[in-house]
Amino acid sequence: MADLSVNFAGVYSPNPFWLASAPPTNTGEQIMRAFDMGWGGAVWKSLSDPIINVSSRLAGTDAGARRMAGLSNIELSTDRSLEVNFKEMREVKRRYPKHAVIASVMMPAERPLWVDLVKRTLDTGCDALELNFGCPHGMPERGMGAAIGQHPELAEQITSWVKEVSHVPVLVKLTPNVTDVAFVARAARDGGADALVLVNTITSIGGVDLDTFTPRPSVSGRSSRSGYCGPAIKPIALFQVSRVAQSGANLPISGIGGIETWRDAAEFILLGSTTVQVCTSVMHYGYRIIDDLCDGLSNYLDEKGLPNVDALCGLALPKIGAWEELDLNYKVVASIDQETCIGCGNCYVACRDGGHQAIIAARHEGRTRVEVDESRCVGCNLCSLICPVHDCITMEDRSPDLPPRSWRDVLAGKGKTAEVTDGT
Amino acid sequence: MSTKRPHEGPIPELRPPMAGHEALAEASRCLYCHDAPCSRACPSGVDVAEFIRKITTGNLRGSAVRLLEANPLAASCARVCPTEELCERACVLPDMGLPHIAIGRLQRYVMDKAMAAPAPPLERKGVGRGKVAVVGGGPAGLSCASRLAWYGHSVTVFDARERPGGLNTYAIADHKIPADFPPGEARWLSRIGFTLKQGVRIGADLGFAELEGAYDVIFLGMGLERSVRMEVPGEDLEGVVDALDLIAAHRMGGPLPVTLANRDVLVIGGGNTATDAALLALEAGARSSTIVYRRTEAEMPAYPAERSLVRHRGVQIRFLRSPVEVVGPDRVTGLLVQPMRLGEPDASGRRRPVPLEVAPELLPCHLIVRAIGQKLLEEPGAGIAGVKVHKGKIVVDAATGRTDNPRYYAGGDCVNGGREVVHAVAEGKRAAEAIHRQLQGKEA
Repeated sequence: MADLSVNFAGVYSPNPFWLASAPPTNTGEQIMRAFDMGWGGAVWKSLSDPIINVSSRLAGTDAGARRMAGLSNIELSTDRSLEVNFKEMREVKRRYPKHAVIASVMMPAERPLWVDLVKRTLDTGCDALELNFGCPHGMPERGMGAAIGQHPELAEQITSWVKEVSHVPVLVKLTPNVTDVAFVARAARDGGADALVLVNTITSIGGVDLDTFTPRPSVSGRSSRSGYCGPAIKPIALFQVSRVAQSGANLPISGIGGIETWRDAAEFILLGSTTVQVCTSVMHYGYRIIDDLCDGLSNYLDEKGLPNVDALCGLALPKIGAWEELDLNYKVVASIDQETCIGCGNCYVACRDGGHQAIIAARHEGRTRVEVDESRCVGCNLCSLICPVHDCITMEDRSPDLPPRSWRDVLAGKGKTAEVTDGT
Repeated sequence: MSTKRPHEGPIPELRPPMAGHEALAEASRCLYCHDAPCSRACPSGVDVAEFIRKITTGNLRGSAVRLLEANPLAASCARVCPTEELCERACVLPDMGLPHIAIGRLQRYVMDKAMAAPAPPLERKGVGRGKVAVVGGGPAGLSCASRLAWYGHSVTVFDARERPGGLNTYAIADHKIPADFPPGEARWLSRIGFTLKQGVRIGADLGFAELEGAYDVIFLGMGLERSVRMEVPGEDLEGVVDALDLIAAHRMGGPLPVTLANRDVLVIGGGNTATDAALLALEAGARSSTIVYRRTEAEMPAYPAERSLVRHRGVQIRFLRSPVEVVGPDRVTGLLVQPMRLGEPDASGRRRPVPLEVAPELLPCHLIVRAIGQKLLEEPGAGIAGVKVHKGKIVVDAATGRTDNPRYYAGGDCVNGGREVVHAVAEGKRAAEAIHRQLQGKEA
């Protein structure tokens, strides 16, 4: 059985699954329950000063009958006094010495404020600090959160202030609301960060109530920009994680963004995360999802013959490159399995209206029969993505017998490309 | 003879209502097929995939409009239509091992919401100037009237019975549709803009000549009111009743024409009226209720769901038995039936029952309920030039529903000999389209 324990920038954790700094880590009671159920670590709900919040904080985005595929929030840091948080944090660390307890901290960009909060926090015995440079709502207006994470110099400066007084690893949590996250990642590294955490939530409007015309969540008839998270943001987060992993910052990464299953977690790890943090799916389904997260990841590692999480880390990174390096001579076409096709015709409509008119539909013995016109198929994958039957539409290799040739090769006058059919 | 009744109490609704979350979840399963087979399977041409998609977007008004445009009786059809045999059977989901979409129940969901408003959500589509009389306030007549009123024509529906709705009101079991629902639906539809006149029997209370004097076009949708007789000796003895009379009396909440309590009842026939009557007999306290059918289960016109329901409720079925004589002497004491076997297929494609060379068998009983089919009450064509009746059906042009007399159109059971409600609706709509074209001065 694979070893799920990890060492993340010097912080030991029995498994790579941490609760992200959010409502699931509001209190010591919650975190101890989560540890009992199997969570490896918890990033305490952000500590800040002053303590303020509004009522009505969340808005969900449904996908058909699937509730809350995305979640927008305007909650700020902890609702409870710093003293209560410190007391509970100390208690948790005392009772769970082998679990990772990380304190998330957030302050305006003034050195004394940071130094004071960090010192008081370190008194609790927490294993690491997570600097919240990512909160996109409420905090930036007051010079905190993403207001820091969007300015590399500021991020570097504050990281170095914290590093000066911290004897535990300093993790910097990055905002995705930037043009290129790599700049802030390198700045945090230059400030002395021990690890990077991303992504924080994405700036959003949680929806609009069609009866009252009020964006969601509504606070007495008004709303504000919110932070978006949940399964809907996973592809964005995956890119940002991979971008930081390839940025040259060269620091361990704790990946966040829509992780709901062990499969999601494995993808983040494959793109360079050592630990992963989970929030929305716990808010949706509870701490109990940890059972399958651990179980599924462990089985997957066994199946792949990998001894531990580190062995999986970053394996997909070498396969991400520039577009101009992609092989222009690679060619796939859709292939429909007539045995399992149910004749819904969705592939036909999708290709006709949103593709390259490469699927032909006809009524055949009272059913819709679809066929691929390979001469028109560009191999976009669309039909296979929308087909409701698993593996009914597959993409088959029809590459010509030619060596690979990239756009870079074309510009350099190298290689040979198969003739492009115009589909007529 | 005693009958075991494993399941007593009221029969649950065939298609119970759905809560909003249920409808959304079910509608979200729909694949929204291209050239959707469910739509193709609908005799009234409902765009099933589209009305279901509109549920998923919360556009319930648009969904109801889509339904009503294709089928004004979408609400009653949601309840009585054999969806399991039509649209739901065509659903492709079972081909991937999943249950079909509950189309009938989704349709009910949409129509229940729509009927909470005082009138149908159909905006007048035209400014028709014609005057049309509709004879019969059943599915065909109401469908025709709704569509013509939608086009702006002046329409009056004349119906012989006390309440509108035709066989939906008078001839269907409660578990499929409550008795007060079809009249309510008819009145709701009339708010598109047509008049319902109940208790007027055309031909008796009002002549066709008078209709011709007052209306441009007359649509005949009078259905099949008369029960077919067995044509066997003793048929007129006391204790032989028509299923239609029994069901109609029950539906009106009045006294039944015969006492069923503690009686042994035979129901003759194999259709859905027979199963309805057999269930009604048990509900009314019959000691036993037995369906007597001259072919086998495979040839029974009653739907599989109805067949399993009657069995579930304790109705017995005697297959391959054909009535030969009702036994008296003064009132019914039994029925002599001839054991049969199946021969070659007949014109309907079903195998013809052939008598076995054995003596008839006596089935003792107190009551015999006839449910072997219906026919025209009288031939309405008599005296109207160009309205022909062939083999008990009014003859019309297949594309328009027009008779040989251009002022007379017809549709529904009186034309098709007795099919589903949805077919009657489709034929009413077909005629309405042609009447509209004719009234606009365009060739039908």
